[in-house]
Amino acid sequence: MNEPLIEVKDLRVEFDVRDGIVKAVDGLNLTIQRGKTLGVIGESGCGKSMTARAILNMIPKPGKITQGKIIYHRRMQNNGQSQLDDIVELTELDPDGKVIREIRGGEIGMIFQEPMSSLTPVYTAGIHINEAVALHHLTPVRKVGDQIAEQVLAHRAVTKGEAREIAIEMLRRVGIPKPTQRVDSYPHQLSGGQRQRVMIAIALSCEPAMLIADEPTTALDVSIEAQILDIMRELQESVNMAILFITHNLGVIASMADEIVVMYMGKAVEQAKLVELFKNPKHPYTQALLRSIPQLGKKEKGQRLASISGMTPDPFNLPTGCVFHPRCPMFMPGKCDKIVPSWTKVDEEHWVSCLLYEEV
Amino acid sequence: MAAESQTQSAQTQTNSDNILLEVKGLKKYFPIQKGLLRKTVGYVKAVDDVNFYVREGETLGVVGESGCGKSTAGRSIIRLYEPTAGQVFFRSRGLASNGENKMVNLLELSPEDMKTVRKEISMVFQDPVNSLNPRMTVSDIVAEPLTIHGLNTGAETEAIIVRLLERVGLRPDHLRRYPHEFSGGQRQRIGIARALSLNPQLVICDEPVSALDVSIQAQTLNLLQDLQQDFNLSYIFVAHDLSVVQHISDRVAVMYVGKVAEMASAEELYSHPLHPYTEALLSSVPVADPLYKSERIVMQGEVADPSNPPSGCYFHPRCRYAQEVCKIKTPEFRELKPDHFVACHRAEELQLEGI
Repeated sequence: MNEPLIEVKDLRVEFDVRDGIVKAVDGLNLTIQRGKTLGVIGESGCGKSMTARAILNMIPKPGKITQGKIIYHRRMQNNGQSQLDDIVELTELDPDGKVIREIRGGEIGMIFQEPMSSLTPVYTAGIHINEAVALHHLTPVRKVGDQIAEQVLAHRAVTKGEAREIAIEMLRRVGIPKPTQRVDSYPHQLSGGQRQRVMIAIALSCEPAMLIADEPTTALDVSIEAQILDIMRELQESVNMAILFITHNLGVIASMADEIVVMYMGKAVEQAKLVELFKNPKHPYTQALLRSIPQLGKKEKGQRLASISGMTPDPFNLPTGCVFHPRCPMFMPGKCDKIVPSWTKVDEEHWVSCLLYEEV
Repeated sequence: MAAESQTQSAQTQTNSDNILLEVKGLKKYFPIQKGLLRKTVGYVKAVDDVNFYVREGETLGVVGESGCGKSTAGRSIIRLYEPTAGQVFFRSRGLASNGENKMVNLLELSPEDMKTVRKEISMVFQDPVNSLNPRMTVSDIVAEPLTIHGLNTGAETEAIIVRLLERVGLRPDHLRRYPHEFSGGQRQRIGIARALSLNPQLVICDEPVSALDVSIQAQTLNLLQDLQQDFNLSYIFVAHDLSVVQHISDRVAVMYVGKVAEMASAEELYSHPLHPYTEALLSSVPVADPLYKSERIVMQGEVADPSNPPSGCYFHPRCRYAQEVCKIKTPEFRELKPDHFVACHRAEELQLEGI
């Protein structure tokens, strides 16, 4: 049943800053399957967000992709009749070119953490959604970065009435009350949860093949978070969309993902199916991460949390061998600080990068 | 057996006597001003008749969704915000004249007496980046409370600070550095050291671990627990994360739109909630166990607007058990079981699900 949609191969993203070069992503491999959810978990600075941006070819300066491939199995519908299959290497596209702009926001939707800063304050909710529809389905020419020009072009491409209807329908689907009125609201008139729903509506208005959700519910309250996750699951089922779900919240990922990749300092350290990862974690980092969160409903008096000693290392001065070795409870002197572990298959669909599971 | 139960009951007795802080009918209304003349057109009732207490050496967790007034309640206690009404009784060591157990109402204290009390109640804030002055060195930051209270005596103070920093897991050579040289977790440790510099009885922690990564969060929670034991501290732990609050708290108060909906021991509240809001909130928490299946209770709509709250029980428009009475009458916050308080008309009859 698995059918790859995006294959990330040996990806490296580097930031050349004054103090040296930071490898934000270092030799990452992962595959996102059509219609499935791949969860990426890790702490801040582990490279999970940079991976998402690399897929969209949106690495901020001074960062750049210095190695690797991102293969996108593109499928285009021609008048709902024939299917056109194509293989696109995303890293080779011009980051401001026509093709990537069609894909970005159109075939691959995205939601980021902070809904307030990702919506333009002077646009109404309706215009935001119209824009995405107009730009990615209908308008052949547009200028990037010029919001006003975009808006005008958007309204030339579809009649105002049609675009408005689409916007209202999308707002209704994401559960915004009174969508016919809300379509004329500005972002500041909406609550945080509603803004994040508008973001989802924008991301999904073009029925993307994949949604990249980077900490989509982190700023929200639990009751709203639960609603947003429900909406995402529902829409995923109705349009067979793949989701790349990036979060540091292990509770959220447990209810969303089919498969999980754990990242640490730019590298994948473990990958497995959801239940396998939670019930049978192999990498000491994954094990420590799972033990370090307080579990709801499981409380013993005076119990302490298992914590990972130390801090994440200085990115300019990474430890030798396995980057996790200075914090690892299973540290093997003479091995872990010398040899870089390789990506090892420990079980069906379960990979880990740790010398405990290698013959060395 | 009998002797044992007797000691137990004696213990509960002392426990209820051991109240360090008691908040009664606390209100904080922020005026909404409009127009050129800044005419007050209404009030945001951020904290609206809140009651709770903290015993010596225990942690009271305060949870609720954003805008429920949990942070405002914490800050109103030490008059960072001047409360609109209510009473805050505190057993101050500094103001105790002859009797040990004298409770003083903080809202009636003179500025000098308030200064004494501020040595005994300190705060740890959420954002470790913005709560530390970037132009001050770590040693100045931690010593600042001592300086303000005229207790900074140079060499001696330095020794105190070094000891404090070591206690929170920082090195003495960090003393001359500036906040930007530290990671988020380390900055929060600096904030904690500052809060402890005056040897307080009560520390109000306002979302102290929300901005931290999972592994750093665990370290910080462990540190707070260790410090509590070592210094016999009491905590008011304000947070939105129900798992974290359950872990650290002895008792928990759940707030909704400026009011306390329910308060009980952590175990009791999480396993036998009496308020429908607590039940719904618990069911919404994502549990880090893929095999855990819960029946999530969907709360309709969003948190009520504190400047224009609904009639009766503020939760009634979102409550699946709401009846006519809930729309009309404000429920009383009452002790339904020993040490288990709830504000719900139907608390007796409802059978609610915990975790």
